Amino acid sequence: MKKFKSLVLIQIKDLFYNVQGSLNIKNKKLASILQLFLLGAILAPAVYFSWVTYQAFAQLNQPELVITTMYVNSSIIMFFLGIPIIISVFFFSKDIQFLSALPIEEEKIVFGKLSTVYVYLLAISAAFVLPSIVIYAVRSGFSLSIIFFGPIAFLLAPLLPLLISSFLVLLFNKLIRKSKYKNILTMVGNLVMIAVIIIIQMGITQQAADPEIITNAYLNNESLINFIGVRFPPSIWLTKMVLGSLTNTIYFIGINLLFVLILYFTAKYFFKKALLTFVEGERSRGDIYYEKKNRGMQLFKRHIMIIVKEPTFLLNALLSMVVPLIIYVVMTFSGQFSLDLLKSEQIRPFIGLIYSGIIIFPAIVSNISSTAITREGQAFWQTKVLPISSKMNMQYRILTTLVINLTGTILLGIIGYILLPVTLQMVLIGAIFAVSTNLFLAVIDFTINVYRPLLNWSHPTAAVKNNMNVTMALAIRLVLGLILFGIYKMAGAWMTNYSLVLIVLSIIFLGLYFINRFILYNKLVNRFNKIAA
Amino acid sequence: MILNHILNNIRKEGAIMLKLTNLTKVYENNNKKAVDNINLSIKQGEIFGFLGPNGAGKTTTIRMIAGILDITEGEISINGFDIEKEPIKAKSSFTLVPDHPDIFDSISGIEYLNFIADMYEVSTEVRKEKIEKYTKAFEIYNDLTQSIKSYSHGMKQKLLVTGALLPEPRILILDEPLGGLDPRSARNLKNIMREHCQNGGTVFFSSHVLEVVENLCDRIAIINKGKIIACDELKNLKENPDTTLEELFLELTENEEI
Repeated sequence: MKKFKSLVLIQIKDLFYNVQGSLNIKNKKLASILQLFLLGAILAPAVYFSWVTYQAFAQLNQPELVITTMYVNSSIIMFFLGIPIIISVFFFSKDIQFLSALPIEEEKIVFGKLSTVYVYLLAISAAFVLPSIVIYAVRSGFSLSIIFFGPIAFLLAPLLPLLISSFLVLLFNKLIRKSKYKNILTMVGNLVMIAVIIIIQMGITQQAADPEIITNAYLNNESLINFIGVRFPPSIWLTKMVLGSLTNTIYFIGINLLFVLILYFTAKYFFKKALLTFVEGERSRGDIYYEKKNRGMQLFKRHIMIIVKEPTFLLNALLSMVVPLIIYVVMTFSGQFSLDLLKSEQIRPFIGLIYSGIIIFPAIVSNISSTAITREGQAFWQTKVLPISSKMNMQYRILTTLVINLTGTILLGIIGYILLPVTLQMVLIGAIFAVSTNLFLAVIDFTINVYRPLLNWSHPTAAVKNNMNVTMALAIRLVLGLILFGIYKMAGAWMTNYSLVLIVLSIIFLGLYFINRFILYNKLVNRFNKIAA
Repeated sequence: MILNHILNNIRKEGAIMLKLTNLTKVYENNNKKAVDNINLSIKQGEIFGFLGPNGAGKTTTIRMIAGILDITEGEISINGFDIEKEPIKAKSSFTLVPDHPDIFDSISGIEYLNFIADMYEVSTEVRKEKIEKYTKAFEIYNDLTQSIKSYSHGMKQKLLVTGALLPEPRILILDEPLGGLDPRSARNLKNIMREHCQNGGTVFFSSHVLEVVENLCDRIAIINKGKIIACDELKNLKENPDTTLEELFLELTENEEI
């Protein structure tokens, strides 16, 4: 047990040091303040959401349902965020072979690695489950059962999503471990897995949304919790556990224990058959060739390959390209959305705006430029010693982002053109807007990375996700959105001409792009040259 | 004999290929002088050994020469080009083999070598000849289609050395090149370094393997605590001809500590 404790401690310490390191702020006090601010920024909307949900259920005289709802929601988020993290810590971290050489049982290594994922998911539980319990307790009174079972519910909430996702990920990777394309399959397979989990959730909700079931649920108090909890039955048990039901406590702790045991007894098998086999040497890839290419093309290929060959980076890039498509498929599948909605007369004047909004999605969601230097990690030295100019070195990193994002834009543009009743003029204006937005954001994100390079990361998730640069890039989009919203509120009548608005915005973004580009290639070259691991 | 004579003349009168002038590096995070006002001149055709205890400043110096690290004070001239003022011309004159083979390793060995060849504009014929020559000498030819991820430390090192030799650089800079190499490959690399100098190239390398430095180098410099404490031909550094380089090294670095 001592070994396991040490292993868990070292993994968690490593995680915290990585998170601190990824903030990349030398002033420790400032880093702490920033961490608290970030935590607050993430927690505040979640707490508010719990509060609003509590009030809605309080009106139905069932305020405890806030706990059920928040646990169900947090579980979906945990599945969604947990799977990529599990893949990263299991299959693409650098320490798995090192750990396998230590005198410690394989199952303990698996659970030790999972401890870091648990910490991530516990943060999600702290944002959703904990506030719901606290709000319920404050408003409905602190009973002994809440004081005792509330903290247990908060601490156990991440376990089921964590254990189920881990089991599925390990099982899937066991099946594909010998494939030539195992890296791509890992990424695509797990993307499909996330989609399937969400579709099942949506499907169940849709099934439960039968008018008869809803009427019964409102008439019968007990049915309402079942109606909400049907998407994830342990949520019913967790809620009733917090309320003091011993039977449901046994159910909830029992199901958690059952999954712990399942993973514990299969961990040794998966460790050998999935984990170690996966990190073994790869097969040969084609023939030896001698082919001359343009230098720019080689640099571009190198940056693209860094993303394509690293599943965590690829998953990140792909998700940002096709998120609207996934949302559309899921919502259509679950019957929550229909294209007929867009054909209504009320929506018709906004179609051009909606189309433009959809095709700029890759530029808004994707922030891969903000990690264009960071992604290279310790290998960054390589392009620095090459006989190429710093401008060229930077240019092709930005070009990589543009090509990826514009591919997403074109893909969404074509699908949007087929599905939405848009005119050629709308497509053209949307395209101009998308190009200018992509250019501006790609350059500004890259500037962030020039100011804040982080090359000493230990696993790829730290490079592209748990990264202050990503947060800053998203903050820029938020500020931009708020400014545009402010202008919209103040401008009044002329804002109703959406084509004009989009053209004006395109000109502004292009102007900002050229200004930023000038600063980057003239004033920030020295800063770029000083970057070293 | 004639060749040696020509080479000696090149060394004596040859152009300065690498010149470090008052070179200083202070790390911002700890204000420590990692390299303290060092001066070195390496002539064309020389094999120059750069020695020093761990943490003496060898790698920092090499990283500054290669343009990876920013220079705090001083100048570095490579083949007559200032690394800060004319980085591309300077970088076209040398290739680097770092101490840790940290490269983007998801690609295959052959993809890596083609990438390097394109960066230094090596023709298809030359790259084919060189890749075959060096990878066969290092016994990694049959592994070239494998992902670099699957390579051992030594294989990565051999791949990096092959990449560094492809453009026939004026100066070959190697940081601890023998670490991780098997005896046959180490012998091959030593021969390649000699051959490179015989063809008019220059080699600047750091090493802990004193026996190699003693047998291979025309001149050596010893750095300790960021300062050059000795720089000359080995025979001139030895007060007694029977003294080994190991004894000299220990004596010099020990005296410095006192």
